[in-house]
Amino acid sequence: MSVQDRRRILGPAEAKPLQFAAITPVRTVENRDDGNGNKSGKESVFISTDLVTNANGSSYLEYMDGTSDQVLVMSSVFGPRPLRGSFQSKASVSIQFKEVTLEHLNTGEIKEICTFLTNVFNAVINVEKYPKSGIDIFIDLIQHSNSNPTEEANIVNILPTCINSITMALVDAGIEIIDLVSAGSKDNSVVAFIRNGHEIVGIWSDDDNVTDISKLIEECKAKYLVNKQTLVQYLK
Amino acid sequence: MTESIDIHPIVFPPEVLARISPDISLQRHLSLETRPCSRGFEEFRDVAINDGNISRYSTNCQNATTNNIIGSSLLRSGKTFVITSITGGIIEETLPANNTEDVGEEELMKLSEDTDRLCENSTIYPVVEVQRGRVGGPTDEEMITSEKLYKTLLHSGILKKTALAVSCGIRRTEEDGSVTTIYSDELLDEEKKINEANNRKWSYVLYAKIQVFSRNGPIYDLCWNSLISALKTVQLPRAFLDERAADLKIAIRTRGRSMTIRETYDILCDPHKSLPLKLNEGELCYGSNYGIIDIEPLAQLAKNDDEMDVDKPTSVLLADIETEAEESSILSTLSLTTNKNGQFKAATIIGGDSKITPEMIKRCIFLSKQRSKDIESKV
Repeated sequence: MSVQDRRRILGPAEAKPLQFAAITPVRTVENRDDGNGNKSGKESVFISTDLVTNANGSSYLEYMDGTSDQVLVMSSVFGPRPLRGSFQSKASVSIQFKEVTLEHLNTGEIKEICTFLTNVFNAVINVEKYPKSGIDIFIDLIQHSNSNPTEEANIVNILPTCINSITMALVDAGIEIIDLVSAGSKDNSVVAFIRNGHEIVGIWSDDDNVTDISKLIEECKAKYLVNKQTLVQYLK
Repeated sequence: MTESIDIHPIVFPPEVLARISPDISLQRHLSLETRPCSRGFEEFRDVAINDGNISRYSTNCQNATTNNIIGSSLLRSGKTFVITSITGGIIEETLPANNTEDVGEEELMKLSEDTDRLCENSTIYPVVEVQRGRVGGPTDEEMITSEKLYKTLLHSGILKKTALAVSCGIRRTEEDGSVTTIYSDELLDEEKKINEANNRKWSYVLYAKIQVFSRNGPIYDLCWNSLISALKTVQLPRAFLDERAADLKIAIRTRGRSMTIRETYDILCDPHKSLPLKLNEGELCYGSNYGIIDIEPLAQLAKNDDEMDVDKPTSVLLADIETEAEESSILSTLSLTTNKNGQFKAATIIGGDSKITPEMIKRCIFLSKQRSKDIESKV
């Protein structure tokens, strides 16, 4: 039986997506130079809340690392809203990740991101406070300029911004969290902290050769503190 | 024996009334000559359109090497915003094996083409997604909007098949390893014969991904306007074949018969060179929507006692339906797609409970031309 999506207009089956020829290496090197030349060395974040009016809370973050990397993330929180079915003493948190424009991540990677973020926020949202409720969080990755379908470092670059964005959306929705959660990244790892870095709520690592984990955590913590300070400043 | 029952009137704040009884809330607003969204009756939402820096051909694009989006638009109307990204594909057209030999066949095709104007037009494959805080399959609204966009664009004649034809180039690798790409319209005469040997045809296929956020009214017009503005930014990358593949034929034998096949190979796109998509500029048009509702005399707030006895229900025309109250209580709606000269491409008129008079339709046509002119100046 042929499986066909009859609900969407997907176009002819035999069409092939555009394939761009590889750019000759000379050009790539030039690009890198341009990037470094323009490098101001300053990371900057733009934060805005209440962009999505029909959600209970939402946030929009633009993260720029001073070079060419740019991550645009929008989060919207729906809930707490009633859950169907049997009684549950805690809120159930669900997180959905979606790429709005480019589609560079595969379903497996998206699932991993969702599971990681759900674990982080289950630890941070005061779920006992919302019995019989569901809190649904939607993350829309609008742009990630350095994303490359062939590289693995994509997820690590966007995760801290995703975490910051969800935190801001939860604050905007007025959902109780035990502390502002934020994260820092180093090489191919991301560590999410709360309580001024005294507690870790999540570790993501794509690095196979981490030798000194305490050093890695310290480095992520330094970045976490900067990120958290930015969030606090916005909320003041 | 009978106990007197006191009836206390319940008073709701406006935002609660809007939720529990949108129709009364709307009527109360109308009697004050305003709307729940605090716009005038014939006032539209402000529209802002840009390309959102999403496409690989955007002026500030950072990721031109890995980006496969060839056209984009970011449309904001009030609080609602629509992100459209257009990607492409290439499809090989099936040509008759002896395409130049059979005169009768060609004549027949020409005859049928004259009667079937639609086959000259092309369209885009849109997928509309509205963010609504739920997961699952597409909703009715998303499916209907996609279908309507697809059909309206096909019938509008904005996009012609000829605009999507690929003029294929040849990539040559010189002996020293340097690579050059030659396109047929850049060719010198003596080199043109390379291309003639290769009588295959391709055409581009366009896909649109339309995402709607903060939906608070009908979305078709917003999606259409966003789609048109995205189409205007589309750059089609030049495509080429590798020289080695262009005239490669392999002789095979199957069941005792020998024939030649061409190896299947991929057509590649030039990462630097591109051509703007040619749209039929004269046919471009933009959409707007209207609603007609009767003013209920009973729901009116009395201005003073003298006016109470005027109980003739009059109806009003509201432009650009917004908010839940308007969308759920207004059943007579018009959706018009036109350009500033009144050249209509699509019109949907749904007669609900309120009578749509010819005067009102005339007024809508006038307003839609004005609106179209306004949007055109912003795209």
